[in-house]
Amino acid sequence: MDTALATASDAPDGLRAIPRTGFRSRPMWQQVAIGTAVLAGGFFLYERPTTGLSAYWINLACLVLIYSIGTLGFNVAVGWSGQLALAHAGFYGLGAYTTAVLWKDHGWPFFLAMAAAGALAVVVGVLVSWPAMPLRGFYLAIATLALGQLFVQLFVQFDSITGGGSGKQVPRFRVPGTGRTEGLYYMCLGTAVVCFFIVWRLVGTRLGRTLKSVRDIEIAAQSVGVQPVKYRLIAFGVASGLAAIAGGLQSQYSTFVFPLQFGTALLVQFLTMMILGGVGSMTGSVIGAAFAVFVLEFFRKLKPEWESWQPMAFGGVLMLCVAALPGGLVSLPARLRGLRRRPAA
Amino acid sequence: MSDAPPLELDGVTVAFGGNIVFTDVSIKFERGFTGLVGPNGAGKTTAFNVVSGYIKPRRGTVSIYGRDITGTRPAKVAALGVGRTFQTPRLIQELSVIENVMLGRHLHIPSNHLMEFAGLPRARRGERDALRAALEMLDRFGLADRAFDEASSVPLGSQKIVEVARTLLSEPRIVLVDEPAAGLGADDVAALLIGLRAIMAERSMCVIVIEHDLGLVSDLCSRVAVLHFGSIIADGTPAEVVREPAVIEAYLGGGFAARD
Repeated sequence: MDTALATASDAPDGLRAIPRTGFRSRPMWQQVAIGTAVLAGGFFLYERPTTGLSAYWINLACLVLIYSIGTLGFNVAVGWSGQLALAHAGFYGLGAYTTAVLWKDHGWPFFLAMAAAGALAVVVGVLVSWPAMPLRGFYLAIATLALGQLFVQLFVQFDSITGGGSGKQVPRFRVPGTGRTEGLYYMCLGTAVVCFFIVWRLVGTRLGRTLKSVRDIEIAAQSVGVQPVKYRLIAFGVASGLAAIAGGLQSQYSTFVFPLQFGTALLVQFLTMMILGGVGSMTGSVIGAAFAVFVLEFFRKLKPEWESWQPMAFGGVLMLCVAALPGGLVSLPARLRGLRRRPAA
Repeated sequence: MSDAPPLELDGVTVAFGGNIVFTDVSIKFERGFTGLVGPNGAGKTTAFNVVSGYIKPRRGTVSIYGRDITGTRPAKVAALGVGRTFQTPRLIQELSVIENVMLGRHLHIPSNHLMEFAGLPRARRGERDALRAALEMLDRFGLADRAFDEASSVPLGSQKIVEVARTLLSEPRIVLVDEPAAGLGADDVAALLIGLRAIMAERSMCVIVIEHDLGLVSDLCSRVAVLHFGSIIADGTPAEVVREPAVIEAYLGGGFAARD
């Protein structure tokens, strides 16, 4: 009793003892390592003439960052709030088109255009998911899948704005004082840092555990006053917004947008990136994205004759991962530790 | 208004499809502990689901302190001061015990999510207060030393107590406790009773307990209502109720009557 009361009066210390989610849950050395890696990435790029890093690798790094943001958003919907929101690729496309149109046709400053695309996606995401709120699991998945396909169809139909099925050319925004490739990289890195910081703050506070309560114990959460619909809409909005921002960067990366870019293949890719990296993990979002970029490049560049096998590879990896490593690659160290410990125990 | 009972069911009928599980039940609950007993399938949990808003009755009204809450949604009912637990513990397994208990503070947090996002002093203070309240609550049930363990690592019996702690942390005026002792060891039951009684001594709540362990019910409750096939067949002190022929017939069987 005495020790317990002492714990209660030391509440501020106890606060530090709460297991954190995301970045803060890692040991200090890992936090330092991740921070250093990000800074080193920026530095090596700055020193590119001396390190001789080729534009090819920098471009790949951009793609990893872009997909990380998209996967992070997907994770907020699926990992934290437990909603299989399969319109993600559609919102990614919405962001790409909105950014492209505002930046190219209406002359908005690029970052303003991208932020506006994010905001629009949040609003659209909340509005269209509202009627889907009574749906759960499989039915929500079907409804959102249809929504994603609807987006693709809209990109085709509104050809006076979107350029229709033949797509739309997007000029690249030049970051002042940098080369073409480095500029894109800095843009992606800066946006990714902002997006990851936002999500880290969101899920690291009370919102994170409330989202998880809606995911795991919805009925019990209601009994202490949590309104599930409110939290599911928040998750949907954040996910859609992040997808759109990633899509905005994508339009800069590929300097061209066309409807089929944002179809089912991209959705399967997002699913693979999220599950392979680790559902509900911020680090997993980056790892999954890095892996997907590797697979894409492997098929596209290293073995061009295998390119048609690419969707199959994603599917195969997805199946393997679900069966053998449901926690994703982020769970691998703990899993290996467990394997090593088992014979001893 | 002040003389209105904390909880009143008036002519409540519940049916799933054509299957009537609750027939024209009228009962008032007063402050203090009331036991709700009855055989499996008698409609006890259904009664809780109706009160806490998960099931809408086909007929009849549910009122708390004279206010009609029939058909109000669960989160709103909770905001009006009705707390409940569930037969099987429902905790977020990957979070710590204390975070699960802190979830019970949801309605009493002084900040919104944007303030918390920005890390404003008010939000930090709110989180700290919730943490302290949760720790004190766990301490009352003898679980403070497990506060920072992952919920999944805590035995099932303790998980049920954690759930009771979470419910009580939301400061309900009416508490519905669904089979708190099922699956608990003797030590857990003792801890649970000590905690419940201590809190009851401070706050005058209306606590309704569904429980199969009649010893525990007569120990804790001054009044017991017996449900059978969706109707109240007896209502009185534990001693009175166990003497009712209908109760012996329906629920306790010959064995208990002989023991008495």
